[in-house]
Amino acid sequence: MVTAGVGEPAATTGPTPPPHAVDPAEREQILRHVSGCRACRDRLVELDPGALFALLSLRQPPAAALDDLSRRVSAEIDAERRPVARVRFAAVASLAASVLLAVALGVYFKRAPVNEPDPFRADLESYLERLDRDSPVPGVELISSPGEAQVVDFKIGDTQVVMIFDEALNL
Amino acid sequence: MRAKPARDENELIRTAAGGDRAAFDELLRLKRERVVRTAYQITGELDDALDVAQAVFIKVWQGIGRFDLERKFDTWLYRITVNAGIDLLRSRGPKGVLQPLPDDPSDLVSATTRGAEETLDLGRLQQAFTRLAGGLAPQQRAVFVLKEIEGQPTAEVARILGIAESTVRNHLLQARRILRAGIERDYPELVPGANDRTSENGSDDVADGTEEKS
Repeated sequence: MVTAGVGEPAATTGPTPPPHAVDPAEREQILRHVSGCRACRDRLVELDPGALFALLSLRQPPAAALDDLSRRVSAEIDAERRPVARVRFAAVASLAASVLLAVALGVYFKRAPVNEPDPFRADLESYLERLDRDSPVPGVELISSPGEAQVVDFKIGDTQVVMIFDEALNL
Repeated sequence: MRAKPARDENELIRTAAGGDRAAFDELLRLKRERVVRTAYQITGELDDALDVAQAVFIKVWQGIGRFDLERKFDTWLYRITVNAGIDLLRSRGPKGVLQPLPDDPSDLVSATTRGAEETLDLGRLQQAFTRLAGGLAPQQRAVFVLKEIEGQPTAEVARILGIAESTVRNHLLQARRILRAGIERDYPELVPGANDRTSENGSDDVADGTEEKS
């Protein structure tokens, strides 16, 4: 009788097991025998009462508990996978939205650069502010026609602007 | 029609390591009984053992992609199991030397054996162990469970726990001594005549000196 663990099983890998070693199946066979054989058990107790506890390896968890365990593990793995997918989708979606926004803003600012001065617009605003028909400004020529029409002729930069005010004018 | 042969365990591990969920599920079915049984013997309660086993298999799933396939899978699996069980034991804090008897002594099912009259009452033996093992330090208990109940070789127990073989032997010596004294004192019906024979031998440690020789 081998007292150490009632037959130490052979290692499945690693160094060569000692000659006395038994494989797990043989060990189980020995334990089943000892469990049911009073004479062998008495001998075992005689050598080491604590060695009886090796027989506890014959006990098994209930099958229902094991199936429940499998379900719990699967459910937890599934639950862990879903949030990852959601996070990934959210990350991709927000990245796409950011890129889209950046492109849109880029196009907008390229088409209508706000910081670039517009000489024509500035000059026009300046002239219109200062325009007073009663007190002609330099560079602006008021021409009175025989009728009610008035012609304002002025130059902004290189652009010549002619404005005709005539209620009777029918274009 | 021929039944499809079960996949080789190493093949299962390799495939599961590649992220194959079906292979992992099969591996889980293959290993769950031993994991739960080991966790049960360390924690002493089936619910705790199932919680530990669940955490173990989740860790396996999360880590199997990085597992070195040249190493022994069971060593890794047992290590995670034992560490989780010990962590749980330690989180309970000291409960005193003796634990109360479990409410349900039939947490684990005893395998059918022949000769009802001659067969040892494994449920009663389980009660005795669960109660007496409460007097062991967590690592002592783990060593005893792996070596004596699960039948792992000393070198493998050392690898699983990451300790020296001499430390394993020392823990085992202490655990055996405590359990032997407890079973003879509190459960004489399980070891009839053990007291007489032990005193005749005049030794408290009959088996310890023979362990490494055997």
